[in-house]
Amino acid sequence: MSLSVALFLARRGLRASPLSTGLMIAAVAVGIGFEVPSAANLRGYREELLSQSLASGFGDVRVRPRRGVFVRDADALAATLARIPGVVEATPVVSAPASINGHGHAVSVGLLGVEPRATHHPYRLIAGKALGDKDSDGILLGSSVAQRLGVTVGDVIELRVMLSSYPRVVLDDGGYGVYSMTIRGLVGFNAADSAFVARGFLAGELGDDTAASAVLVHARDHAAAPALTEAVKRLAPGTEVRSWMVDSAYLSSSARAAETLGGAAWAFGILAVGIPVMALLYINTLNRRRQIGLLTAMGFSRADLFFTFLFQALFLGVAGVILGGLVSLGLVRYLVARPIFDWQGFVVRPVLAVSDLARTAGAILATTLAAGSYPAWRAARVDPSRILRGIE
Amino acid sequence: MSGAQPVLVADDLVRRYGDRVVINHVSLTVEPGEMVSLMGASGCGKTTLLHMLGTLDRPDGGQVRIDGRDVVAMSTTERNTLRRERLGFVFQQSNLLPELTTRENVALPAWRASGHRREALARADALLASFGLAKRGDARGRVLSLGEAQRVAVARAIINDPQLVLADEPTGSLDTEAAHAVLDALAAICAGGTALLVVTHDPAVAARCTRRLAMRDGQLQTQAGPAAV
Repeated sequence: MSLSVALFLARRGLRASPLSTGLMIAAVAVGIGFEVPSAANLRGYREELLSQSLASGFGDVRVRPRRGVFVRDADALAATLARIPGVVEATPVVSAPASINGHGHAVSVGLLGVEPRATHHPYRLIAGKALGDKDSDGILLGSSVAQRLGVTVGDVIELRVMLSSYPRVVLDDGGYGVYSMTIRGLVGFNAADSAFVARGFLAGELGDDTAASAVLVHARDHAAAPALTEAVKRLAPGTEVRSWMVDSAYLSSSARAAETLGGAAWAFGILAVGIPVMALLYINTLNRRRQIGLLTAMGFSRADLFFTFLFQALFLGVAGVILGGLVSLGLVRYLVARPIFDWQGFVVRPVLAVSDLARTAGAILATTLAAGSYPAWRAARVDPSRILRGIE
Repeated sequence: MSGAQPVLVADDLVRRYGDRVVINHVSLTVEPGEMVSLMGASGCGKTTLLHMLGTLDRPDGGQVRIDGRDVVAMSTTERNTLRRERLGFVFQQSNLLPELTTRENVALPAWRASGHRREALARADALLASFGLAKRGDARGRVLSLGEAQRVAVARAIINDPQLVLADEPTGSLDTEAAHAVLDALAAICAGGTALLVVTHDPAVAARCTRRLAMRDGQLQTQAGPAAV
């Protein structure tokens, strides 16, 4: 067998049929051009979903009181939990039911007191600025709430907080506090129907400066939450500790659905490349049977013929992967600049992982080679006598 | 030629397609440098016989020996090697690979056999020059005239110095002048000691041969030597 001759014949054979060669390269390139941005978008969706719901949400592990309303010694507990390997931050939050009045309308919201100095907050700011450390008259409003009230950053609203749930508070004025607050910023997506104030302010109004309804633990790796939950349980006896997978079943289902959808789209994309490439290579082989017969008469072996046609598939695969890779990189850049989904701060931008690109390129190249193997095998087994006599 | 080992010895060859006997107990010997024609009506089995002698097809019975070796018993790999090193083929038409230039077409068997592309191309250039085709080296097969293409095919058939060239209607598509040029080329290779077995319908081609064979219903009918010609 002579690989150099097979390579030469493969190259010349492809150049002799520019249309079918172009179509085959296009089929491979389209496959890559579809697969890579599609996988990147799904990865981007999953990462944004987890980011919004965990990093800018309620953390990877949530610690709540098993009995009563508040976690005891929440600040000390948060400091302890923050030292667990893999934890990037643990932050206490306090919650209370509230309503917000503005422009003659009232909207009920879940009100959360957060630590302004913390790195992670259960929201993502989409307009305005963050709460100040000792901010006692500033509020962050969910974008839906702001829209319903017709208010925006800088406006002053009336905040009514139900304080009666705290048993040690002596109720006055009907059991709720009324405050005039300035909207510092707007928050979106998961927090679109909520409102946020400084924890110091809300806890103080509830009568306990250290009050916390939950401690939110943020992990470096979202997937490590179950293991982290066990570690937190050992350090926080008397609390209810739940990972995000258990606490937010919808979120974990959504993430799984995105992965399943991505896997299915990936598999069908590979098939969508393999079938036309195989068909075109097979047609190409049929069209070149006379040449195959001549080569056999010249003493070319089955291995020579097999590798000639396999090299053609390899050329097509490599050219298609390179072209498709460039197209997909361009598409990804375009989609980063113009996301396919952008709503209340939830922005799906494609995330291109090198591993995804390598996996897709490798799979499509392998599929092209596999698709080219059958026509190559057929070419190597033609009956030269019948071909040269024009019987086949 | 006497004293030298025959290039080709076919003994009692039989080939059937289903119930039909296409080659019916044919025996044949070709000596080095012989120019043998094989004539016969269409469908009488000429091309089938040529392909069996050229190891492109296997007989159902009988023996073929080329250079003293039994080719029927050879493996596919051994037959490929034999074709590459000892045999040359010229067919009626569409002999050339259209994606290659003339010189690449001629050089291909030599490149495959030796693994040296540059030397093969140099040899092809020399052969093309000897056939008056030096200026057509870079032309593609599709722009050549039929006569030129057949002469290129002859050059390709002999580039590995084969012992036997098998030609199937090499002048069948050519006008008289082009046919003469191809016959001249074929005669020239026989002068160098290569044997030629040519299947033809053309009496003029047969007349140029040193021995004429006729075939009818799968059997060799006559064997006329140089004197008869």
